[in-house]
Amino acid sequence: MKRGAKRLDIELPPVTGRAVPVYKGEVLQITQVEGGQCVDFNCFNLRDYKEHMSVGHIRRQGLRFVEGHIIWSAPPRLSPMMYGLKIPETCVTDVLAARCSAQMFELLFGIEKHTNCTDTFAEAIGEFGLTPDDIHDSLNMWMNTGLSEDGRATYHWNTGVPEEPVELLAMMDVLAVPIVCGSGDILPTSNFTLKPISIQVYEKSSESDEQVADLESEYCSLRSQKSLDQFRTRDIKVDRELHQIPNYEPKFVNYPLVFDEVEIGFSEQDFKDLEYIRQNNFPGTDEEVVLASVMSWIRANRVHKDWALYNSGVKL
Amino acid sequence: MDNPSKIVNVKINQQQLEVLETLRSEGTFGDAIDDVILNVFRAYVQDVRKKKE
Repeated sequence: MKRGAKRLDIELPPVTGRAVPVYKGEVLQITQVEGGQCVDFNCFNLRDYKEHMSVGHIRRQGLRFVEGHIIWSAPPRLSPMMYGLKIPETCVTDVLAARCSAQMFELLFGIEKHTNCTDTFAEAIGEFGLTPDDIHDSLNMWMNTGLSEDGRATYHWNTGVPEEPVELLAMMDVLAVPIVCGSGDILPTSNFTLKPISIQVYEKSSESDEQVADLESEYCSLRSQKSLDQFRTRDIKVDRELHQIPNYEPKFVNYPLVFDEVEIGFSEQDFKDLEYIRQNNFPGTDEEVVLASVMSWIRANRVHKDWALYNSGVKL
Repeated sequence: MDNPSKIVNVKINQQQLEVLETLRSEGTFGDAIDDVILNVFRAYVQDVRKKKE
């Protein structure tokens, strides 16, 4: 894809970060300067900061954010914010580990003041009036983590190289916040040396506009994607303490659930099959086994294939 | 279903019914919801057995 002209090119020394507006159709490039540096990333809707990316929903695409994946905002908006245009294999991404913090270093090493992603994010987003509480979970780039058999995070050599940058295409006007992770001098994430990164922003081009339009037609057409004007409660609270709203009545979706009882006639063979499924797949009652089988088949065969988000991890 | 040897009662809520209705509208699994459930169950069994072969 042909990008527009480069409009920003800055180096971020260790341990700093920068909140950068990136407009719809523009490309944010994040580049290793020396290599092997972990980068943490936050992303806000530039027009409404309450909408920000959700690492949990990025994770639904897989345990690595890879080329072709979407940086989603949190539901109920679930808007595509940025698109993974180029994620080189040398950039192993992490969506499991939360950002590091001063408290983590104090707990681990007993030191009170160590560079950390939380404080770096806070300083970077402060330029736009956001508070430390507005920092959200980070998408971690060049963070070579894994999982041990007992479910603990493992950390491996950072394989980032300068020649292979990450490129993210903005699908809305965003405030993108890449920062140099501050943990990697005494933890393994950056091979025990903190190094600079650089960021570039390329203006939109007719080709990037076209790609955004294609992606929008694929990912912005859900009837249930909510906009702010559809929120029942939409004003941002200005006081910090929470108070109950008198006479408030929640309107839960499809509440109360209504049940129909359906009688299914099983042959001898069906019943043998049911036992087989109970032994091998779902160890429940007859009713549970049937329901689980039916819904699992539907999930494996009838989900919308375009929506990779909900189309992964189906196990027969 | 001719001469079923056993009846299984399945309780489905309105949301599950909505999903099953889309299969009923396809026409390949039967015209009644009980037929759809039975035939999709059989399709699932077939997939599982095939996968285990």
